[in-house]
Amino acid sequence: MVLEARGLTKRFGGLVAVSDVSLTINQGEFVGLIGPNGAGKTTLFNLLTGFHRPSAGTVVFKGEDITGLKTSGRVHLGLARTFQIVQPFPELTVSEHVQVGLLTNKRKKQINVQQEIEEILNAVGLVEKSNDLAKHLSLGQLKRLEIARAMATGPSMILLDEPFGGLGQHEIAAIQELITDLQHKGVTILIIEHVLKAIMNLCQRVIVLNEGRILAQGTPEEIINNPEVVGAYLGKTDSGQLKKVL
Amino acid sequence: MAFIQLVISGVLQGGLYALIALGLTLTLGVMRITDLSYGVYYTLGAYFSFFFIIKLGFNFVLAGILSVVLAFLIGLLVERLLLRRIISDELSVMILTFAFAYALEEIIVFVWGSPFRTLPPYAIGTLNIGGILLEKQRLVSFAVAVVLIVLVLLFLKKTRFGKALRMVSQQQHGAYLVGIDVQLIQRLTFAVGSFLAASAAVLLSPIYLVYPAMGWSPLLKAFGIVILGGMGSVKGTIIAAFALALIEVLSSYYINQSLSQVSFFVVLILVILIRPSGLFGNREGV
Amino acid sequence: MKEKKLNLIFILFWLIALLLVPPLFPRYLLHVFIIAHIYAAFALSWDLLAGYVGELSLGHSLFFGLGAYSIGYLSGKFGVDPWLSIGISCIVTVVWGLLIGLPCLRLRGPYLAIVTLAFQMLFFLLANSLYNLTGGEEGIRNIERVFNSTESYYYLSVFLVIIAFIICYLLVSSKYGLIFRTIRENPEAAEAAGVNIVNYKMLGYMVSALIAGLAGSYQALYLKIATPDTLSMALTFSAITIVAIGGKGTLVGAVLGSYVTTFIFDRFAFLKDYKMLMYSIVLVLCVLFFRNGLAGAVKRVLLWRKMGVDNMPGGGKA
Ligand SMILES: Nc1ncnc2c1ncn2[C@@H]1O[C@H](COP(=O)(O)OP(=O)(O)O)[C@@H](O)[C@H]1O
Ligand SMILES: [Mg+2]
Repeated sequence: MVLEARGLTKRFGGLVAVSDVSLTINQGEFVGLIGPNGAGKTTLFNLLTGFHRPSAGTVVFKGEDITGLKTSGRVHLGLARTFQIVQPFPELTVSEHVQVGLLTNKRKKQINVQQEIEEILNAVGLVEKSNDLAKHLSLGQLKRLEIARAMATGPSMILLDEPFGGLGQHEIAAIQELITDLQHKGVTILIIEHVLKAIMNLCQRVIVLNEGRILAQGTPEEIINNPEVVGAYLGKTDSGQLKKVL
Repeated sequence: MAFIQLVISGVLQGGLYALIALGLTLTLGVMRITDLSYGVYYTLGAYFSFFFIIKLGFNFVLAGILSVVLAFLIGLLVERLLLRRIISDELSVMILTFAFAYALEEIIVFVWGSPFRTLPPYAIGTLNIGGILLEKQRLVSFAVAVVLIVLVLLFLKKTRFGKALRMVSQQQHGAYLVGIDVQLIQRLTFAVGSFLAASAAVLLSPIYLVYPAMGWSPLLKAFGIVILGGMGSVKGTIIAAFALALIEVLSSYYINQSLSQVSFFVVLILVILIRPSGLFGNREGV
Repeated sequence: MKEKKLNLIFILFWLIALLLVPPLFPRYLLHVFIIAHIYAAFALSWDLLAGYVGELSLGHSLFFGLGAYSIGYLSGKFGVDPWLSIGISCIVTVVWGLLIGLPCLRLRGPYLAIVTLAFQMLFFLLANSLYNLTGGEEGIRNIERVFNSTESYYYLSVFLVIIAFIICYLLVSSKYGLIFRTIRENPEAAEAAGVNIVNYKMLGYMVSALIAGLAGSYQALYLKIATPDTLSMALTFSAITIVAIGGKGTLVGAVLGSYVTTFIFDRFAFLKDYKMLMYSIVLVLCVLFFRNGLAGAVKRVLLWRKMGVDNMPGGGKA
């Protein structure tokens, strides 16, 4: 078990965005987190990574209670994330995005920073862009840059928040390949996706979040055939759209 | 007896602090900027009244109304001509508004010189109610301030503009989605803020001195109050304004006269240390 | 890379030019240079924070004044050795920096700007009004003379400004510079990349406070007096304007801006009365229309040829 959440709750004023969520993720697992818009998926990520303090509950990473730890502290323990809405450093170059992750990586002695930057940029396919400013990149490139920056921190677990959002088929395939590679390197992955199809073949297990609560978990097949899950999506979309979504 | 007298002075002062801070809270919430030129409208309000009353001999009601209307219009212009161009760049906004405030101060010195000026009180004399002395001028200012605050609160609750304003303040993106003209709301809110700051100045200028750098202290106090009240919370702002005024009045009496300034900073620092989200806020610091 | 080379060339030429000033120019100009160097060091400290870390210190003269008054008290009132006083004044400014930075830099938002401004105004008020402690408007006199000749003061000012520049330059061109810029660009993302933003902001703030304090200490030593002017908003404002004219986030700009403004006001003495009026209007205009300042303009000219090639089809990298 790498990551464990116990009774996580987050209130924003009167709104309960995440409500009593408990989950465990095992070493090397590839887990999907799905749910309709506004279900609280991103908020759950924010709780796991320390961007929000939970109203109640604890987070345990590699056996250590990290509930009170800052985001950067969690990153140093090997828990990295990407953002649904890309968060680049607009006036920094692509390679600097990777460099900063390497610099703050305390668990690893940096021997050849330039080489490592190149390796990571190669993996995400941004080598030719290494000297470009982030503000000049396309959305697809920025999404890959998110992953590159997270990889640079040397994570043992990575949380990906809708890495395919807003991308075309081509780009989705490239990123799918990228995260499969990550998994093969032994990185534990928790991925949010609105569209289950995109991660069907990747995930070993899927957790469904609805209105802040865990509605179901299981293999992708179990989830598709779970009437409760279908119902939750039905509440949000018409059935024609549903076919596309699931 | 002294205590009751002090509490009453504190409350009278608190009403005006609330008026000043209310405008800043609205601007902060709706514009999401740090407006360091907020004190400018306070200064302008005072100088406009001075100009209308002393130079042109208008009566104080007309002078007051003209002053706040002018401040409102200047707020509209400043938002359009200066802020709008750079509103997404936090640092630039702060530098620009700081520079603008400083420029205005220097321009006033240039045009009218730097001497301290005074305005005659609107209401002369003191009431003696069972041994408690009340300056009529302060009572009048307080009463007008309370009326203005209540009007603003009603306006926020009841009117379409008020509802749109609250929507923009709470969920800017959501406001776009439901078709609210966010820019327009922001511009008007900024102007309303200018109007409120100028009204406070109109009400306070018969009590305090009028001089070019007079806007900085209300600016800082307004920020202190807004932070204490929990950024963005209107209720919190009003309560914090009264709390702060009481602390100032009491500490300057019971501890030391010169401490009224210091006590403000002490409270501000303590709040930032202990409860940065303020007394009523629920926003978190990272 | 190009920028690094330009900066090194700049430092070298600058140093040589400064060493040539005393033999070649009249004694009177040394004074002007000294004043420019004080402003330059102070402006550099402001630029380090605003231009790289992305935090505004709107009451930055607080640290300048703390430096000056520390010298005033230690040397002027208690007769402590001036050099030792400088050391102690550094400690004083850094401790104050910690006191303000620790609560404010934890938070996201304009807290640092507001609180430094509040402290600066409070200290200005106290310096003016607590006559017995601070000498009021007169300030503290009797600061011991450390040199007999203006030349010596001049060389010390050169040392001050070059050291300030080198400290800032080494900092921003090292890994800390990159980390600072990530914080300026996007603090949340920086934190997600493993940057403990509070710690690094503190680092930037401490160094900035220290350099500002040194500039103030030097001024007190040179003028042999510490007055409330050293704590004034006008002083902070001058630094901000100097940095804006020179170009924010370039370091070189702070130096250029100081020379340009100091020499303009020296040459056209009748403008002195309108200095702050001009500064404030110039600053508004710079923010709106001249974002990159002189350094930006110079850089564009120097790099123009190279950029021209890069932009041509088939030019630049293969
Ligand atoms: N910082 C915040 N302040 C207030 N409400 C928030 C905040 N973040 C998210 N929410 C609310 O919490 C709910 C869940 O949002 P989110 O976690 O982003 O959903 P998802 O990622 O599943 O689409 C939404 O109703 C959203 O409006
Ligand atoms: Mg989301």
